[in-house]
Amino acid sequence: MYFKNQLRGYRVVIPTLQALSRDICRKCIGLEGAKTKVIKGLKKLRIDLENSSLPQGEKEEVTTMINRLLEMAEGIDVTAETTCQKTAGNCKIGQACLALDAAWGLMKQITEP
Amino acid sequence: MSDVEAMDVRGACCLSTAGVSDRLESLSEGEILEVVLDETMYDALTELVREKNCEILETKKEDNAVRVRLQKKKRMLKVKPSAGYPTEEGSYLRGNDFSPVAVAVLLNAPRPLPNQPDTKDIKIPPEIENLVRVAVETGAALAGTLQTENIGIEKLISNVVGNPNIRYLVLCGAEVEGHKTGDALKALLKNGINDRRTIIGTKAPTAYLFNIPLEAIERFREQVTLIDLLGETNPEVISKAVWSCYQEKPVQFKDYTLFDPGAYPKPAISCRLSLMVEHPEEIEEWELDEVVKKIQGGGIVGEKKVVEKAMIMDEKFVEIGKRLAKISEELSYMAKIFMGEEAAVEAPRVEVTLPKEEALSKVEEMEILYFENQLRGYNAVFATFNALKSDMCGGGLNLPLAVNKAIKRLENLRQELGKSPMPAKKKGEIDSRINNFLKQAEELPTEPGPCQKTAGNCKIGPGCFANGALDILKLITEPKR
Repeated sequence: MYFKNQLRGYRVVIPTLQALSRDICRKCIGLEGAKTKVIKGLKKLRIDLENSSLPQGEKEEVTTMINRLLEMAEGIDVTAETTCQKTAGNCKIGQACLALDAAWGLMKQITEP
Repeated sequence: MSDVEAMDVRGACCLSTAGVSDRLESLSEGEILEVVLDETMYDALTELVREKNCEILETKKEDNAVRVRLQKKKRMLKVKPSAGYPTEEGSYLRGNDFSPVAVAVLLNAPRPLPNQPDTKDIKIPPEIENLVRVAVETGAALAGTLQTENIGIEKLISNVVGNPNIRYLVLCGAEVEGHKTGDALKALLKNGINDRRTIIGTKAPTAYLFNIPLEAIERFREQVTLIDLLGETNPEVISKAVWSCYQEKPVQFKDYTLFDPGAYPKPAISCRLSLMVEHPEEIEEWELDEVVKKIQGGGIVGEKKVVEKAMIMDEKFVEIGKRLAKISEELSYMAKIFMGEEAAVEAPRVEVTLPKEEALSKVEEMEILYFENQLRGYNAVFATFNALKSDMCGGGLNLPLAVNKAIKRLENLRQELGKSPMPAKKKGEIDSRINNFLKQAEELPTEPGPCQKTAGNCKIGPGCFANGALDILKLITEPKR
């Protein structure tokens, strides 16, 4: 259940970040940070999975899903040099950061198990 | 009192002829002398004591005589800071290098960004700037803002250990939301760090000190005493704290007994951040062992090359004879110069570039910005909806409800667009984008089904992805209408 829920979250978050990468967020340090967090989160999930007591068959299934999501996450288009788009004067949506707050707002919906 | 040299000058007409003046002159530092004299000569002795740079330790009355125990005043040791001090850049002012106090004013920037370890591009509120200025003008060696619980603290450490004269650290200002930097600094001084380079006992989320030598951290903890004014923003209180720290004789400030104890008795440490881990805020707890191992091995972290900079030890001791308070005028002047420089390097404001063929009014610009920001939000919302469609949410209750709400809001946005004074061409562009979202909505579920939680399928907790998707729009708060 834990892994399934986490994967559901990432399956939603990654396309959201992909959509943002087509906006000014592509050059943004916020999106870069969100992308890094997703990648790390998935890698951590893979480590946890390896150490879990799930049956081997299920482990393999979940690992495949994690790897697919990792591939997607790594493909999120972010420029080599990023800078905060608020600081650059391009992002004027207010205090929030779409990439970080949207992505983590969605992941925070998962509280169980 | 038997081991102490005593001079009995009772009956003497003058302290000089009795040899007291010469003896005080020849007294070596720390050596104690006891003088027994007539009560009538006491005032003359106190004058002589001051003249000969001595101090009275104890006075006892005996019949018509007075027994005075005195010693040569210890010379206050002051040292020259390390070469290149202060080694790290930041938002701070440099005051008198011989002052025993540094001031860290906590800074709450508009929002903590993941890869923004310093405050170079952040507008510092005037009240914070004022606290920094007041601290330096009162006599602090360094005063500046502190925002992050990792690189911010590392920079502070690096600069403080470069100047052994700094013996107090005044921490003030409102706690930094999210970072808990004040808590981290207090915990560092109280508990230190563990073997994973994490500050022990702090609530700060990423209180990792990866980029500074352990020796510098330990020195920092030994060298300075914290004056905890966390939450204090009154310039008068900060000023009083700074003043108290450089007094020659102990004074009481709140719960602290403060005075200038002289320089820390070991050479300055000159170090710069290695920046082996440029973004400690991105490090997850489970990665710590690996990161620390790589730091120790001088490896690479996150594809960032290690730039270990050699520590330079510097030992140059000098004495100063003037009291710190006397140069406050100069400090004030210096502060003004530095403040001027700060203002000069402020990041230039970049305005949104708009098509040149149409000169837009401010109102039109704001109108365009409003609609573009809203559409930016829908861009993320619809990406989330589309992802949720293939999840169990597709057949559930809340995704269709959220989609229907989004449709209503988009239609409302289109109505607002109709009334907007923006140029027709831009209006057409925005209308087209709204239509595009409405078309996407046609492909999404709009007929509510059973709640997947009630059906026992969704077990993520009380949260809901579909509602979370719609909440993305709440992140767009400007421009207000």
